[in-house]
Amino acid sequence: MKKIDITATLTLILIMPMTFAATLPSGDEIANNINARDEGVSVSRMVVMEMTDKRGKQRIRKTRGFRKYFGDEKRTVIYYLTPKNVKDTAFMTYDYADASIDDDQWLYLPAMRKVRRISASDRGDYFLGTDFTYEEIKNETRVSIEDYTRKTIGEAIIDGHRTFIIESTPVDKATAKELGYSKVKQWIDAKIWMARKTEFTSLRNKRLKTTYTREIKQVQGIWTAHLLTVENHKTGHSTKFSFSEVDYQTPISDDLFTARAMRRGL
Amino acid sequence: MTCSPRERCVVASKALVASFTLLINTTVAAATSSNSITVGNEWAYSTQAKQTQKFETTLKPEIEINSGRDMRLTAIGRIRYDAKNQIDVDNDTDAELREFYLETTIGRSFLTLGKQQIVWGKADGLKVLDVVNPQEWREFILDDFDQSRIPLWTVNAEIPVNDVTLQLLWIPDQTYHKFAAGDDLYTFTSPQQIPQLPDGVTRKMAAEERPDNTLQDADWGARLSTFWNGWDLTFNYLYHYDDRPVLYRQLSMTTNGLVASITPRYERSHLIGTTFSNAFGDFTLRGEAGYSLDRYISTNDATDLDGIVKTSELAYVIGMDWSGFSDTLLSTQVFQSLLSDYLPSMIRQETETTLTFLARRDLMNQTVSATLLWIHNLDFDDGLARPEITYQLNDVVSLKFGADIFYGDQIGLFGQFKKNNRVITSIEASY
Repeated sequence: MKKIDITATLTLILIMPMTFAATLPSGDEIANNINARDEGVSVSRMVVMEMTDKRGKQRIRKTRGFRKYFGDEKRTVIYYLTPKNVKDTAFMTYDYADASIDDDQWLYLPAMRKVRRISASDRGDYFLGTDFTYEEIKNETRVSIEDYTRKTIGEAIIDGHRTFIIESTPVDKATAKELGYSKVKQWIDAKIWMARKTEFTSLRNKRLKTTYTREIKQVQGIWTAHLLTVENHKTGHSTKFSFSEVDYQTPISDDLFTARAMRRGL
Repeated sequence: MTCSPRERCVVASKALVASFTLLINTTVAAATSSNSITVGNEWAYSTQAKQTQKFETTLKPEIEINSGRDMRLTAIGRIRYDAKNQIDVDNDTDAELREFYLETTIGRSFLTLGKQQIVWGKADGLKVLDVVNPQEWREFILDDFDQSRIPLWTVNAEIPVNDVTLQLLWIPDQTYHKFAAGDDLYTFTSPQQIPQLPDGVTRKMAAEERPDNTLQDADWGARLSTFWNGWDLTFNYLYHYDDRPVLYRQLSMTTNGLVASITPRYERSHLIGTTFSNAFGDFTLRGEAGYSLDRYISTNDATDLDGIVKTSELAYVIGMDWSGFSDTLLSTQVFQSLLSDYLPSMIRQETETTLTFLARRDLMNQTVSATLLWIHNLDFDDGLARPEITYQLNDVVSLKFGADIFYGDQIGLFGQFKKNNRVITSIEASY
């Protein structure tokens, strides 16, 4: 009897993960669901960026960001409002639907009074002193389908919400080098398809940084994160983005996504 | 009713001032404002003279008034006091309203009226099309262009037409370059800039002849900008007075011998230009070219009647930025200027070639930035190296440590200032 029990238990243990895995959506399904989430055609919002170094010294930037879809093409522009030493700095990116076409990016530095074209290949570089990379700023809460292969490795509760855990690996070494990660593990909310937690592993397979997405609320019917935090375990530096005045409905002029608008500022 | 040109000038000027005043009044009513001030001190120590070259304190107040009706009024002042008084020996203090302009929109068009800076071009550290505004040369090219550019009273309209933006400029402001002079540290002495006189000839400077008719002597400009197949493109045209006076020479025999009377006079020119930039992987290609139809170059030929030869000039810069390493920018540029009607007696070369190299590395989440800018002139093997480290202490205070190292023969544009090599430290606070 005891022998039967052990056999049954072993069988159950062997079968369970299969059953468990079968009930979970695949990594690609989850990624597609993330990217299918309604983001609105356009959005404007205030973003306060708080950057804190390992000694607790803080820098705070108040910005206004705009994003708009032009068909499948996504255009984003961020204008810095305060403090004085970065005021009127602006960053703009055109993200094309065709992944084989490089994004176009521009940076306006008020001291130069010029809009400078910048390479979009440095997408793994950190964005203007934050702990988010240019790629993460561009993607916001979406994921880059073509850069990673992914698999679902389980589920967990994060901040009281059921999440699927997916592990993404860059498709090749070159992509890994560009992005700056060898692995990305995400906890995706099973209901609203938004990452609540993400862990990034460095190219040297070290724990690099962890991000949390919090204060997720519906704004005008669209699930919206109001707080993003990231802690860089390597440097001890951390960044917090607080979103407010989120508006998906007020139309945004196409002209805002131009070099001349960057020069002029808000 | 008929008016003389002068009367038309007065009427037009009054109308411009009245319109500007009305717009300002409209803006100020029911407006919000933001004020800021930047306070800085820069200490430069001359490594050759082994003494302080500059100990300058600068205040830059800025007021911005926003109305709810898409109007913004900006006023930027600057007060400078140099306790050492060697850069500009005649003035230890200068105070000016640097910029004062009103921005508004008409439909999709932007209109900026007032004293402002217009920046054309894509080059770093060198100017081909960035000539709409004159420049203050009190510290040669060591001052930030943002600070050395002289803002002008300008009507600036940017009108979008489909995917193209047309910028129209009208500049009824006859302000030109301000040069260091006399015993100022950065006075030009190179024979490439200053025409030489034969031995025994006395130089006599006559009064400068400046254009003085606000309307007739106004500069005009137009620029078409577009983004086409990944390329940022502009096509520029400027009908302007060259900001550098032409030094007309008249030789005469007097009881004291042969005298060369030099009359500085400003001359008009047409400038046609283009700029481009695009990114290819880790590389960004950018460039600009300008063709000036009328350039007046001094000649050392004593037999030339007025000491001036008219020519055309093609100048261009091609630059390549590389950002293959994280938080690092490497950039190089080639600058060339070519004269169409060159004569060996001209004070400058037929072709002038300058190379630049820029390396910048950001560290500690961009609180520290290390930069090296190197400019090298191939014709005279002279140049300027500018290493610099900036540290953003917090959101308010930044520190800078650097050096300005000139090298080469005194005959060169850069070599002439090698006695002024210096190390610099500065602190700046913005509130």
